[in-house]
Amino acid sequence: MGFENPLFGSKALIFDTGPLWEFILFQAVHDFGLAHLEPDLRHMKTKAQFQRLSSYIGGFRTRTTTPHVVAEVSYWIEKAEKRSPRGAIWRMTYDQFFQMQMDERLIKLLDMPRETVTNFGATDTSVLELGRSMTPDRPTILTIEKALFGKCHREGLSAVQLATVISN
Amino acid sequence: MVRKVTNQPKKHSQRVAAWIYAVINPMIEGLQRELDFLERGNLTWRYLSQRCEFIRPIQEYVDSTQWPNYFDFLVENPEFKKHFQAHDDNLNALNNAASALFSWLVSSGFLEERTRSSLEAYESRRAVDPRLADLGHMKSELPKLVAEYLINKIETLPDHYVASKFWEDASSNIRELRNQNNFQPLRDAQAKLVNLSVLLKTSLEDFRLGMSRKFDLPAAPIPDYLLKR
Repeated sequence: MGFENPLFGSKALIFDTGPLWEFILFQAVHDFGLAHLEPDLRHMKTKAQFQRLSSYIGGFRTRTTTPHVVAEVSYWIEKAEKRSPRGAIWRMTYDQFFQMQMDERLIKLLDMPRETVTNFGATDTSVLELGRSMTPDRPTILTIEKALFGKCHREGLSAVQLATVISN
Repeated sequence: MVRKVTNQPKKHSQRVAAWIYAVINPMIEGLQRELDFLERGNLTWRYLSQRCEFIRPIQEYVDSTQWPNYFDFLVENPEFKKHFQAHDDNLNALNNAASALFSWLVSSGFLEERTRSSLEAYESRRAVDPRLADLGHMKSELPKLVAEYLINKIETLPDHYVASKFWEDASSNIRELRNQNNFQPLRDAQAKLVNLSVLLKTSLEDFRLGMSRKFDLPAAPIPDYLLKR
């Protein structure tokens, strides 16, 4: 594979909002029968694509994110739950975090570089700063955003786009 | 106590439409999801909550903002009350059977012993394959998780689950515990709930068809079409 993956020594996977939400939403649609949410899936359409993502995640010893990302995912969950059985997506998300042993690390706003926050917002910056703080683990940032992906590369951080992971 | 009135709603009644769209349809969808899980043997039972997480009491399949319509539906169609109650009683029985089985599994020693030997084998494998997840921090929780997998008849786990590779190796050694007689009450409660849920879903579908015919209402809302009428 032509992208940074656990086979090449990266030990930690850092989730940005887009891939994490897509990952949760796919399971809500296909494993929990919330088929009416299928049109909300933007990137992952097939079980084979999901399987690739699942295997990719499975290769990392540490899976982590930031509370900023969790807060953004909360927003999407609550939006989707207005059209779904109350609490179903939250129950599923909690299960997934538990089964993945998902870690979360707080990066305070005032510990983030002002200029980066101004340009990328607090969530993307939290992901970038988390990546920087975990350098010994050679983390990989999983995102769907081209801007964040580009910034990671400019900063010497390993990053991969969801589309690359789920493609053949 | 609210009494059933004898005046029938008129054709295209908004009230009956609310029953169909906001009460009956979500219940039918909930029961279908429930049956999909139960047919796979997956009770969605979790040891942390001691209940089936995706099989719920009937009222919970209806959005709480629509509960006034749910109660209105029951006032006019009280025959459903006992069916809903029977479903919820059986769900309780299933939850209790799962909790009792869980307690037996984690205290019996069989499971602990098998989990420990499987974990030792896994750790040996991990020593030569560092990509395998470290389950050291889960050592005390692992027998509980394994008991949950047994109760939910989980054969394989998705690759992203931290215990995926462990379960891949261990399940054949541990799964045979499902043949123990202690699983029988769970199987009985599950079979009862499946029968009840099938009957209830069919009754609700029949009722919806009857209402659709009687009040000339579609089984699902077609907003643009209805607005033009």
